[in-house]
Amino acid sequence: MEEKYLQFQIFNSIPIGICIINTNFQIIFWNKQLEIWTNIHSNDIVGKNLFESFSHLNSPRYIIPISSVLDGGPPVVFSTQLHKSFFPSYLPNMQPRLLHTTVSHCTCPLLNENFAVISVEDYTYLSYRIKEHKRMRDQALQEVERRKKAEEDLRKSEAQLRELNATKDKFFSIIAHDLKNPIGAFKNVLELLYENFDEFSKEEILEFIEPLKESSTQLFSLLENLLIWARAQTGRIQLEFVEFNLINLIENNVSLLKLQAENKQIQLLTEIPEKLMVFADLNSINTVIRNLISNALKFTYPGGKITVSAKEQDDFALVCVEDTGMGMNEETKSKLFRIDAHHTSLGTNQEKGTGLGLIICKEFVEANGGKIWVESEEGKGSKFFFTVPLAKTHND
Amino acid sequence: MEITSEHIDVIQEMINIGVGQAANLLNSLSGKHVKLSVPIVQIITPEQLLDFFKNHSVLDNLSSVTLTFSGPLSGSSKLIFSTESASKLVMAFTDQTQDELDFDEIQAETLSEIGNIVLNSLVGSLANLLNINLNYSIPLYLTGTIDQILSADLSFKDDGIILLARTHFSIESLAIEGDFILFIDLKSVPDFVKSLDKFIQEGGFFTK
Amino acid sequence: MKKVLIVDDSIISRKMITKLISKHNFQIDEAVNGQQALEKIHSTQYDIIFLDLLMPDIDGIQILTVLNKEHNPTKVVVISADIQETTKQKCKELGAFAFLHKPPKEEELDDVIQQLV
Repeated sequence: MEEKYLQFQIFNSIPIGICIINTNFQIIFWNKQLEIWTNIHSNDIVGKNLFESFSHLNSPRYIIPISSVLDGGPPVVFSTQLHKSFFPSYLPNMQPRLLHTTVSHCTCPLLNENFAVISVEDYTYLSYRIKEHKRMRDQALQEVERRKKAEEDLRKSEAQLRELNATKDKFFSIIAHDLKNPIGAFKNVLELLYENFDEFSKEEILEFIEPLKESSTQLFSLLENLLIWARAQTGRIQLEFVEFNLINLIENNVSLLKLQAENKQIQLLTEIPEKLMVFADLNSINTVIRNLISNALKFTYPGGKITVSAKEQDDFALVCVEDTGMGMNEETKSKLFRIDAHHTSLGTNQEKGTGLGLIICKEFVEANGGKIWVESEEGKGSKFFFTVPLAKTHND
Repeated sequence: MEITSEHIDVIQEMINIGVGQAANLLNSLSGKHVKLSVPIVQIITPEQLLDFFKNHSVLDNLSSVTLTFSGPLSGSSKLIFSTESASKLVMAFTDQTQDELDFDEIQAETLSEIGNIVLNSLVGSLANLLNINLNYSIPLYLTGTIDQILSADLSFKDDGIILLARTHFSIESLAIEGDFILFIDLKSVPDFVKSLDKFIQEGGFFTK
Repeated sequence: MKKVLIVDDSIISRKMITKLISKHNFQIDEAVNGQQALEKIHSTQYDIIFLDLLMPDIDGIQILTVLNKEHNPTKVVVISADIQETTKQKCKELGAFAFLHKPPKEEELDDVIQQLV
C-alpha cells in the first residue's frame, strides 16, 4: 500500500469492513475485517480494479450509484435482502454472511483526492436472531391456538356428557316413579290381604287379586321394555338384516292380540297386501308392531276400531296403526318419543304406561333405516306411521 | 430574503425531476412500471409540519430515511412512509406476498435501501440542478411515531424553512405514498434563494 | 411561420423551453394545464407541441391519447421528468415524435427541431 494511504491503518482496528476506492475504481485500501470475512488478503487486492475483482459488481446496478458517489453524490445503501453479496463472504458452516453495505463519498484534503468508502456491516446474527424470534413467536401462537382448541373441545364434550347424564337422570326418575306406583299398590293390597285373610270371603279376595294380576302383567311388560331399551343403549342388541315378509309379522301380532281386543270389544282389522318383502331386523320390527298395536288397544274405547295397514311407498314399506281412541293434543304429541319428558297417561281402561315402548319403537325403527311419526287429534284417534326399507328384490 | 411563488415553481420542477429519476431507478430495479403523480410542494413552519402529519397520515408506525447535508446549504432531508406503504414497496421488490411479509428489521433494512434510492434522487437532483456540492451524512433509518422520527434528528431545528412535498406513486396497482421533507437551516436560506434566483435568471436548467 | 404550443404546468419549464427554442423564430403559444391545452389544440392547428407528462387533472398521456384518436397531424415532442423506458414506449405507441428528458439540452432540442422542419 502506498505510503500516503497509511493513515487508513486506523480502520484495521474496527469491527466494520472498510474498502476504499479512488475515482478510477481502484481499490486503495482493504481493511482487516474484510480480510477475515472474505479470505482475501489486502496485498492481493489493493491496486486492483473493483469491477474486475468482483465481476458481479460490473453492472449498471452498481456502477451508476458508485460513480455518483465518487462524483460527490449522496451515500448509497445496498441491503442484504436485495443484494446477496456485495463482497462474497461465508460463515464457517458455508452459509452466506449477510452483509449490509454503504458506499459514501470521502474527500481527503491532505491528498486532494476524492474517494468512495465502502463500509460493510455484518447483519447475519441479527437477522438469524430475528428469524428465530419470529419462529418461536409463531410456535407459541400455534401452541396457544392448539390449547384453546383443546379446551374448547373439552368444554364441548363436558357439556355433552352433562346433558346425557341429565337425560338419564330424568329418565330414571320417571321409571322409578312409574314402578313405585304399581309396586306400592301391590304392597298395600298384599298387606291388607295378609292381615285380614280370615275376614275376607273368596269372592272378595278374588276382587283384590284381579287388579294385582293386571298390574303385575303391566309391570312385567314395563320391565321387559326397560331391559330391551337398556340392551339397545349398550349396543348389545345385534341387528340381523334379512329379507322377510312384513305381512307375516303383522298377521302374527294381530292374531296374538285378537283376544285382548275382543275382551275390550275393540275391532282389530287389517288392510294389507299378501306380500311385502322388506330388508330389516325381524325381531325389532316385530317389537315395534306389537308395541304399536298394544298402545292402540290401550287408548281405544270399547266399540272402537283399530286398523293395521301396509303398502309400498318409494323405497319403503309404510305401516300404519290407526285407532279411533282418545287421540292426543299437541303437547302430548311433542313429548311422545322423548326420553326426558314425563308422559304417563292412563289408557281407556285405566291402564298405566310409561311410554317407554314408544321410545324403543323409535330407536328400533331408526336403527332399521326407517322413520316413525304420528298424526293425531284429541278425541278423534291417532295414526302411527313407520317405514321399513324394502327388499332389493322387487315386490310383485 | 423571501421565497416567492416563482421559487416554489422552480423547486417543484426540481422535485419532479428527482421523482422521475427515482421512478426510473425503481423501475429498473423492480422491473415494473412506476406510475407517477404530481408532487405538491409547500413551504411550512415546524408547527405546521406536525399538524400536517396529524391531519394527513397515520401517526405511528412510520418508516423514515434521513439524509443530512452541509456545505453551501446545510440542512436535512427525510422521506417518510407509513408501514403499509413501506411493506408495499418491499413487496414490489422482493415478490413476497402480504402474508409472508412481516415487517421487521430484515424488511426494514430492505426499505432503507429503497427509501435511500428515492431520497437520493430527490436531494441529488436538487443539488445537481442548483449546481452545488454538498457533503452528506450516512443515511439514517428510523421507525416509530412521527414525534419520535422528527425529534430523533436534531437537524430539524426551529429556525429554518421546511419544504414539504408529498410524493405519490404506484407500482402495479400498489399505491405507495411517501412524504418528502427538506429542512434548510436558516443560515443557508439566503444562499438557497440566491441559487434559485440564479437558476431562474439563466433561464432554467444547467446542462451537465 | 411555424406555430408551436408549449404545454407545462411549471412556469420555469415553459420559460426555459421558450428560451431554448427562441432562435428558431416560432410563433409560441403556451398552455398551463391539460384542459387549456386541449382547448387550444382544438381551436388552432399547431405544427409542433412540446408536451409535459406530469400535470394535475388531465396529464400528458391523456392529451397524447386524444391527439392520436383524432389523427391530429401535429408533431408532439414529449419533454418529461418521467424518464422510464416504459413511459417512453407508451408515448411512442401513442404517436409521439420524440421523447426528451427533463431538463432538455439545447443540442437535443435543436436536433429534434431539425428533424421536424
